[in-house]
Amino acid sequence: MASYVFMKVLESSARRYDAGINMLSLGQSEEVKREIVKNYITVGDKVLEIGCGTGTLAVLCAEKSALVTGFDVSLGMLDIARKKIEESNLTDRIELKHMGAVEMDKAFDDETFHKIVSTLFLSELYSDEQKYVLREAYRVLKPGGLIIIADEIKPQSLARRILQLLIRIPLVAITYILTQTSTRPLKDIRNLLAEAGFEIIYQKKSRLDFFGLYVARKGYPKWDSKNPSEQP
Amino acid sequence: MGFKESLRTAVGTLFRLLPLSAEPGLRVFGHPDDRSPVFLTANFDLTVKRVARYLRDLDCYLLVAPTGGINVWCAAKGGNLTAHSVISVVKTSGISNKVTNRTLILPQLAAPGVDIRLVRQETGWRCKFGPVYARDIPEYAASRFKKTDGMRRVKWPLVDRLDVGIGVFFPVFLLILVILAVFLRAWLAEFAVLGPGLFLLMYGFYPFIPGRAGWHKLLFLEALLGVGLLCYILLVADQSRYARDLLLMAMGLVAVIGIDFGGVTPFYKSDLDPLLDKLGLKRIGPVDFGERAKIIGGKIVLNQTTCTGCGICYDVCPTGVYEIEKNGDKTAVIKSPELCEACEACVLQCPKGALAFETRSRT
Ligand code: SF4
Ligand code: SF4
Repeated sequence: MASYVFMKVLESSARRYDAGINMLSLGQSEEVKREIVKNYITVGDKVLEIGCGTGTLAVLCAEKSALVTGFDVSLGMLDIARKKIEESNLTDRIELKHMGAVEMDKAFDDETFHKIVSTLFLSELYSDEQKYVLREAYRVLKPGGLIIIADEIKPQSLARRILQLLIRIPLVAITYILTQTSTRPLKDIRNLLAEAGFEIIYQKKSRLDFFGLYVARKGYPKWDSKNPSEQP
Repeated sequence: MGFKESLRTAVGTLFRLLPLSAEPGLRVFGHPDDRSPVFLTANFDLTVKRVARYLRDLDCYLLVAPTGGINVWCAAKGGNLTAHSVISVVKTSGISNKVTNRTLILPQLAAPGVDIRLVRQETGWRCKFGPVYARDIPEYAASRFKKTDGMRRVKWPLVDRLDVGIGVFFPVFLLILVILAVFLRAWLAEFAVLGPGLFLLMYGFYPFIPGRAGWHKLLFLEALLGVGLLCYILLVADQSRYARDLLLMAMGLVAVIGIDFGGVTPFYKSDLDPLLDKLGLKRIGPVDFGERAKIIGGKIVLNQTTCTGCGICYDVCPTGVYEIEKNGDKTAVIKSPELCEACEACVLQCPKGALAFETRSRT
């Protein structure tokens, strides 16, 4: 009951909602979004955001004159996003879709986007879904395009893993009560990206290695090797 | 491994109300080939384990659908086991490359949640509803996937009563125990004995307690205790405060243990939804009590002109409300409306849209 009231309070204002979520991600959510836009989004890019949530990142990208398509399963989130986009007068540069990640195969054509971004989303999926999403991301990205992922990760050192567990237990409880979703830090995102065919070009860990930013590229097709997008 | 798994099972049973999830995806049993059957279940840890036990000796595939760690029945009614969870696991597991058949066997109790037309449209897979209980799967498979009426009905045997009951009662018990330990030490021992004792009695003798609906039973018990208390006060000469308080405590406990005495069962309507609705609590989060209350208060109606007698409602109804009339025009008949528990499985699954809940309009 209390959680319901809290949720309503959060939902009543987009800014408050984002502040709440930002707190749950140990303050990383905002910072990393600015960093992504500053370093990787250029004017005129066609950008796909996987799991756009309340649209914060989509708005930042569009403010830099990118054309953004974002999708999310949660109608509540999309409502907040829509409001935010209207307030910043960016309706002509952002398209929102209500769909789940596994609908990507029907929703987008091959080689459509220059950049694909996704923050705090992959960790909400189960592992088969993660593989599926990255395979699809590879398909819809133009050759030479970049995928930029920021998410919770599992630290390598045991001590930090234990520390993470201790810090996460209360946070997970709050997140669960608030959103009925639970996330699990990504274990081997590097492998997942490589398996999907991407080549990792940059990575950065922060907050005691609890949080990671990964940038990977889809290569150009070569004459001598099979195009990985044709793999099953 | 053994210990860790047993621990998970114990925690899962005691805290059944909290989700405990297993990783969704594909599981393989025996040595299946491209024509082996494909079953599906929810990703509640206990459910997956139980199903796995009965699939052990078959050659088959099991898809564990993402339902937020909630069991089949609750997930299907609560919107966590839907066409989307099925589509998701079908697409991401790559099962379509492993078998040539396109028939997915769902647990029958998934019927209130999964729109099988949507699954077909999105994935090309046809869904059919298997037995309610995983323990019937070996027999079902042996009889070339023919379902008996016995496999269609929900039952409520002692083990299930205790299993589910513990899950509902234990967290509350623990909470009260902690509160008493801090504020009211004196009553701690009494509570620790009386709580589990009443719990065992109430769930153990559930079918023998008079009253048809869950709250009738509850009322009966409360009345019994109330009369006991009155008699004690009026008739016993040597009154002790202690005995009186003990009886009061028992009354309170019975109310707590039995608060949703109908809803915990697989075949009574929940009394909690209409009650909360009357109290003015229309909805909590995704659960719309007002809507539920209307459906529970309504009754099922059949449009005989559109019904084709396909028998799907008969197949998915867990309590045996329907009969299929085979003479003359093939059509379904609502034979035992009093058994209906308003799960809406038939309404969702009827391909002709011939079934609906007529909701009593309240003035
Ligand atoms: S499912 Fe619908 S069409 Fe089929 S028998 Fe039942 S009511 Fe008739
Ligand atoms: S008749 Fe009632 S109990 Fe049977 S499937 Fe329909 S709603 Fe459920």
